[in-house]
Amino acid sequence: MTSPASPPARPGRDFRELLRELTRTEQVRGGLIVATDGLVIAAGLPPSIQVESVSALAATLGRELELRSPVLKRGAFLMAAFEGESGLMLLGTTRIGFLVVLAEPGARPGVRTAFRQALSALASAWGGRPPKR
Amino acid sequence: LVPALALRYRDGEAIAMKLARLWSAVAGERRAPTSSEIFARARRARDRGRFEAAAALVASGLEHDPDSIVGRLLSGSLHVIFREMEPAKADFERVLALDRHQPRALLGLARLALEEGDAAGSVALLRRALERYPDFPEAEALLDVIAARAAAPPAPPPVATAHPELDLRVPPISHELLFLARDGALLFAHPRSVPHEASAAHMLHVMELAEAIGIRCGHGALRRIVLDGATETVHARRDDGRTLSMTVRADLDADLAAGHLDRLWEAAVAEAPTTTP
Repeated sequence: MTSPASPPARPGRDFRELLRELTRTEQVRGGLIVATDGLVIAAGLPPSIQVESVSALAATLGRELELRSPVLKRGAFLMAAFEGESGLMLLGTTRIGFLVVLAEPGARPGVRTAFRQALSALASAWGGRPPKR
Repeated sequence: LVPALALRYRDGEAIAMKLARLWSAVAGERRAPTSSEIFARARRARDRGRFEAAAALVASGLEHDPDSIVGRLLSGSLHVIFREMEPAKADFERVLALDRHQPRALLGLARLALEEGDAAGSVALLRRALERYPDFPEAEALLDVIAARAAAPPAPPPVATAHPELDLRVPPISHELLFLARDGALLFAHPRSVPHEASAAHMLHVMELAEAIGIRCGHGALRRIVLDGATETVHARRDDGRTLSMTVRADLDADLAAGHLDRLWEAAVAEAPTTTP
């Protein structure tokens, strides 16, 4: 229970609320916060998608990007966009793991803006580097 | 006596429980939590993203019960979350010494082997996990992606010798331009003075994983990719298994980079064959 004197929680601290907010964005189909080891911290995906498989693959993809980006002299990995014929996936790194968002193909800039804001909220709540603008 | 008094009040039961707990504490009856209870608390903390608290609990539980499989698995998981891969590996190996078929430890080690570039080792560990536990979606999904790569024949020779005729007009904004065939061979690479095998292999691996996720999410074939690093960004296009990627400065206008990439893509797909000879 929160007493009236408690300071308001930082937005990125509440994973489920952050994800709920993000998935309310127009053209967003769902989202996932997955720890580096593939553990699902919070998920809001369409029921047709098997969360465990996607989280395991997303964590592996995130780690590949995190590990190789500096080795290839591209600097620390921040985020990635993968656009398919029928959907867009955004994946960003945070100190606690990876944020994944699924959206309509050709999603408007608002989706990317909301994604970056969510990454920034996670960085401000948990530490780490916020995404570039 | 104390709980009985509390029952007179409206929220009697809840108050009674609280008072009973307080009474036990005052009377010194409170027992120390068992390691199982500590690990259960740690798991709850980890599942809610309270990783530091979870790690502290796991450390305290392992002091009392260093060979707890649950404790070692939690410890390994938390080390991975904190990107401490060597201690994570030690924890997962210790679990396997206690139970050689423990699926989470096998999955943990398989992911670490993959990070170290040992695809064959990773495949062997995932197969071991799936032999005993066939209903293990995480292991199955990873095995699907990695097994194909582990079984793939060695990459054909780079394009410098295979396709000298392919001459794309590389814009000055490009730090690296790669054109990959369906079989993963380099059809074109610029600048020619530096090796590109590492970035080509990385690009292929990223696309394999992204496509595997895309298939599971109904996204269809991968078409465009943007990888943002702190100092460089990679813009890529993909179709029919062929991939063109261009690395540029991270602060370069994304539309400008995409325009150059589209022009190069048209030229590349028109000139190059789909596979290496």
